[in-house]
Amino acid sequence: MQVAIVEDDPIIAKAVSTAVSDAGHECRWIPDGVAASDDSLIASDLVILDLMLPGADGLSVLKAARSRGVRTPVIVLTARSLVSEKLQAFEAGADDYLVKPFAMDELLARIEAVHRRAADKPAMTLAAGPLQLSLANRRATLAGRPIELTPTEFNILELLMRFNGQVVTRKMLCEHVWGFDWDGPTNVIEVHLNRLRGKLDKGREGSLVRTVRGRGYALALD
Amino acid sequence: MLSPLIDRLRATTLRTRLAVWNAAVVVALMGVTLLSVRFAARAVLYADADAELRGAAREVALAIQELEGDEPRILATLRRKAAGHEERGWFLQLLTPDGMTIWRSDHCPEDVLNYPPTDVERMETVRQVGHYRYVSTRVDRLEDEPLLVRVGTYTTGLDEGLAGLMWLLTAVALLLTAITPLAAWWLAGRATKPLAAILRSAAQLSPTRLGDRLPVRGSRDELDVLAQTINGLLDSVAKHVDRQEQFVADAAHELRGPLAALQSSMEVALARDPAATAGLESVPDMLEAARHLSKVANDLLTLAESGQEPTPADNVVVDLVTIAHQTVAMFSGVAEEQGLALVVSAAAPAAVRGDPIDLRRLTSNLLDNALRFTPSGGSVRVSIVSGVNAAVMTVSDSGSGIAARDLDRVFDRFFKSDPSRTHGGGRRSSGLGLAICRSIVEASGGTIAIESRLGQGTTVTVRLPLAAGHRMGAPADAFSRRPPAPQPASR
Repeated sequence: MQVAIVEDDPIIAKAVSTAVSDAGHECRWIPDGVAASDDSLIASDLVILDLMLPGADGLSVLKAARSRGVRTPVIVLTARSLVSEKLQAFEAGADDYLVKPFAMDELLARIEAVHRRAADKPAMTLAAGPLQLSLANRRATLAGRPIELTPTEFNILELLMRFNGQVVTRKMLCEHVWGFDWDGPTNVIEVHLNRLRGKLDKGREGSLVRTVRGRGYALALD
Repeated sequence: MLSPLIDRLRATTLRTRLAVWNAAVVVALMGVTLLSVRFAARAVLYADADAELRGAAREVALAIQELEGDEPRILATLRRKAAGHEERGWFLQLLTPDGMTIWRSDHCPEDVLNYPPTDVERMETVRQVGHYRYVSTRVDRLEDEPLLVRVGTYTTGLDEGLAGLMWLLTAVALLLTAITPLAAWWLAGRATKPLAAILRSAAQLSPTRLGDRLPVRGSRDELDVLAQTINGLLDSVAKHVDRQEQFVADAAHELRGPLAALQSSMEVALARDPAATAGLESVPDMLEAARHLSKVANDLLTLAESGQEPTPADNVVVDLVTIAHQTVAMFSGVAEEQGLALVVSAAAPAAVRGDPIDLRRLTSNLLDNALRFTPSGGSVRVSIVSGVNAAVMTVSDSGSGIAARDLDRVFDRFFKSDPSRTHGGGRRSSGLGLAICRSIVEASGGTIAIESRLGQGTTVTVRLPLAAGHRMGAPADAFSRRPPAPQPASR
């Protein structure tokens, strides 16, 4: 996938480019709004767009592109965090919105999510290694055997499986499970994650869910 | 002896003092007036009486001088005059300068008869002897030594009249003295009424509602000037606070960019090749510190934003009980793990007005605090009761409690209690959690209070005004404004 990052801060641009390249995509850096307003948007499969840019500001670039019929998915990456500012961005045609400072894993996950959503529809069944989730009747099976999960554990496993092979951050899990990304001192996810592990890892050597220090959690299926 | 009274007056209200002083001044003036009236009336009455007596005495003196030498005619004239004045209660005496009575009228009192003449060299003297008053006129004769004529009257009638007048005046004065304090109280009440209105409005002013102003009645008097002066002060205070909050918001905002750069570069370095950071084992710690900084900047921004007037989009009617249940669901796992009982009690929904995200942040911060400071085996209770005007939510724990000296400061920015008393695990807190709680509560027009006993537990009480008569919006709707969570397709 060809990703364009429109960002005036070279350090952030470089970090994002590196991470995106490492994730197996091509990444191009566009340092200002003027350069972003030509056809670079059409040429990319996905655009990461800062709002405060020298030249032309991100919102007007986005609006202009959408009015020309450009349908390339756009993730807004900005320090502006007011709900009204988010709404403005979505009205202008953004597909997703992430506030700085951000976790790189979350940005990568959102890139995948936005890209796939633009391609096809979510299925009613998720599968990853020996794990299968039926989203319709909310049942989980491990190597064909049903496992009993609480709604919270089911939601956690669902997100981990959707992002199989990637790291899922605490904030993403919190938002997905409780609809609210509380960022307080207590780790409200960990307890449920440990219980989930207890159910998944019965009679197993290692764990199916790996803790990635300082980043979050990921499925470990190998 | 007076000083305790004065001290007590100082302590009482302006109205009482005004009334007391008004009444005191009126009563004092009345006393002075009463004495003056008595003095003046007496002087006028006596001057009138003296003038008549003087006239009569001169008539007699003239007659004696005219008829000098004709004894019988003089006596006849004296008798006639005396008879004429008898009915007015006057008396007449003719005497020699050494006090010998030559002639006297029938009713001439002994006191006067025996009173020796004084100031004989003067033509005329007026004298008061007991209840009698007389004018004594010298009658110079051509061939003989001079004689004295005394014409007098009883002053009892005069004094009785004067006393009657004084009784009447005193009665009126007493009546006025009784009425004056009441009138003074009423007048002082009228005078201080606008002041009381200003006081009532001023009592409503609060640092959280800096938009409020005192009413100016447009009468252009001192009280209007006072209200305008206070309003002017409020304007500049509000401007100052706004600038401060804007500064905090701007500063936090400006920090976000560099923090994002710092954090993402380190994340990429760590993720890409752990070997590349060989010799840089501190990178994970640096990353943790950068994340903590980000958290502080975010909380500062939250604090600055929640202190501002809520936009209509952030101000919807939500059920506080639903919010509490959602939050408890989020923490129930942690509570179980810590061996704590976490219970909610609420009889009925409580519709309040506010930003649902903020209200969840409020309850989350309070629950997080309660859980972290409560040891295993303890309990944390959330209860919500709807009163007439307000919903009261209490979060109480059986935890380690907060020292009394810290209690006033827990809502301050960056206040951190003794970390050794926390029981749950978890990361460093930003020190802004309870400050954010207070800011959120005050933005919704509510109050937050904390009570605590060391070793026994802590109770936080949040009071939020009820949004009466409003349709209850499902809180879940309010969350749909947020950007959608990532939902990729299956592989």
